[in-house]
Amino acid sequence: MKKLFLILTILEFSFIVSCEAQNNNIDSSQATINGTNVFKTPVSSLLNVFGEPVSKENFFFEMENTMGKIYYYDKLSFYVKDDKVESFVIEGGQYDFTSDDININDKIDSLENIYPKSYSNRKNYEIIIQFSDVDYFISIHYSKENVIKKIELYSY
Amino acid sequence: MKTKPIKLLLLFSLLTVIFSCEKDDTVINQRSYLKTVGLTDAKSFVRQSLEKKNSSSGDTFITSISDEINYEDLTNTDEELAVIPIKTIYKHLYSRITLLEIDGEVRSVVVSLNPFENATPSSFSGELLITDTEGKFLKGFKIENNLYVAEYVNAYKASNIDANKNHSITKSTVDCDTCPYSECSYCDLGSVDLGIIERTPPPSLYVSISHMYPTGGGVAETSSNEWDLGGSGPGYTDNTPEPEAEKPCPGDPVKNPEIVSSGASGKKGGTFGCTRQGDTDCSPPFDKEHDGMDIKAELDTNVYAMYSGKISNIRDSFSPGQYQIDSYGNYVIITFQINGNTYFAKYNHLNTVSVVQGQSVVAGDIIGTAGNTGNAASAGVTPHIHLQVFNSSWQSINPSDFLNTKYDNNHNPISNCN
Repeated sequence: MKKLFLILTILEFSFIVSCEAQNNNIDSSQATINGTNVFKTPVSSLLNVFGEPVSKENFFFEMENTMGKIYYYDKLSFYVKDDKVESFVIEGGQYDFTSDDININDKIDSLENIYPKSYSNRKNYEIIIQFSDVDYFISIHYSKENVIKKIELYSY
Repeated sequence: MKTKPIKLLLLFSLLTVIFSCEKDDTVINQRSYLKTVGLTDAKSFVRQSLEKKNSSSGDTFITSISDEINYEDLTNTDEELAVIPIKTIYKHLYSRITLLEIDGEVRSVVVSLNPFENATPSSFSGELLITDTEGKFLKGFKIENNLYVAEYVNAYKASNIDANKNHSITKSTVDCDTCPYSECSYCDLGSVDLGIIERTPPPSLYVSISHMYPTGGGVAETSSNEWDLGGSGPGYTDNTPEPEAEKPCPGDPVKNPEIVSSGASGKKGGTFGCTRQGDTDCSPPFDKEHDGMDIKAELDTNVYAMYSGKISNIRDSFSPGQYQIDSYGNYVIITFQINGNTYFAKYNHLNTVSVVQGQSVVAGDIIGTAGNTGNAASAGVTPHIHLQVFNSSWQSINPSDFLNTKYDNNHNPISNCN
């Protein structure tokens, strides 16, 4: 009887965990672009790696009531707040995302083995990769042809 | 979904007894040739209507048009009236565009209802406004307890109407102080002088087509073609009184409000304060204070005023689901008072806003629909209302203290009024 209760408890726990874990998680430090972790990276470090941006533009972070900037590179933009990278948008194939070298124009099938839960849970042309350490996530946008078109960092 | 038949029934009963129109007024000439506007032509026509700018304000009068088209019977003809639900810049009106081909030309008008506070499904009081697709005034009627008591007309016409039919004519101007409509902004429609004709007609279920598509000529002794407004189908659902069972408890923005998870922090991250993972003191590097509560709300479901108050601000520039980094998207701010203290409740990420600035609302009134505008527009975000409350100094305070529903230590709801 005790064994049965234990098994049922384990099954119930497994069910709950599996229900909640619909997407894969990565640590925010794994969100690298061309090998550099950019999340919350100071602008000075950003410039060392990516050089001077093609252009810069003021941007109002409405939810923090703070003025920041957008640093535009070739098909890559960084949203900078308080001198640190708050978000980024990758739209060019010359950038490798994470150590798995995920690229724009890759087929999303390439993500099936890397992020199986997120891949199977994809919807609205998005594959979501949660950060495990902070309340942010990566959205990998893809086309009707199942080709990756944009990789973006979101905050909740 | 089960409310839809009820809404339709209410609308039907409401509209069928609304008012009568002047059957002795100018009507479309009996010789006029009426023809139904086909589906393709109707859709083409309304697409063009969306692009027309209001001549005085420069805004687009019609803001959205439903994909749904209904065809309604007309009297004395086998032809039908095309009726399409729409929304206009006057968000609180129930509006439709109606199409009919007259003498080879597609004619259209926008018919809108503006219920007064005392209107009920069985006894309507309010205004009926007929404009062109650019918002230019054509006709207006005032209804009290299902009886048509007055007609708004262009002042030049009011001064020329034969006064031997129990009409008493009062001339009015577009001046806000003297505008005859309940909201003087109507008097901006087409920048026309308005007059009001008081009368007590017998009740009627019909409106003469001549009131909707004035031709400027062709007088007949009796009306020829009329439209039963009661059979006009859906299109007024936005502000239709909700059945009590569908409304949330007073103090809640939605029924049975749940807190949504914000990723790594789980539901705790959806609560107010320094509640985000790895950031329990809102310090760098994450330093993100969550300045509200994330209340779960299905996309495009109604959002309700938690307290009675006044709409102090809105933003409705985002289309449903439109994304922008670090943005609240569409929102409504309601100013309300508790024990003499002033507070502001802000409902963010709405897909649509159904109130206007300055409008008074009662707790339980619909203020818009839940959505995912702003930074909530992603498959990674559970649709929710980011609810904020501010004190009179605009300091952000915990919305949980203002909700009827309370939450346990695991942030699950533990009480409500149901």
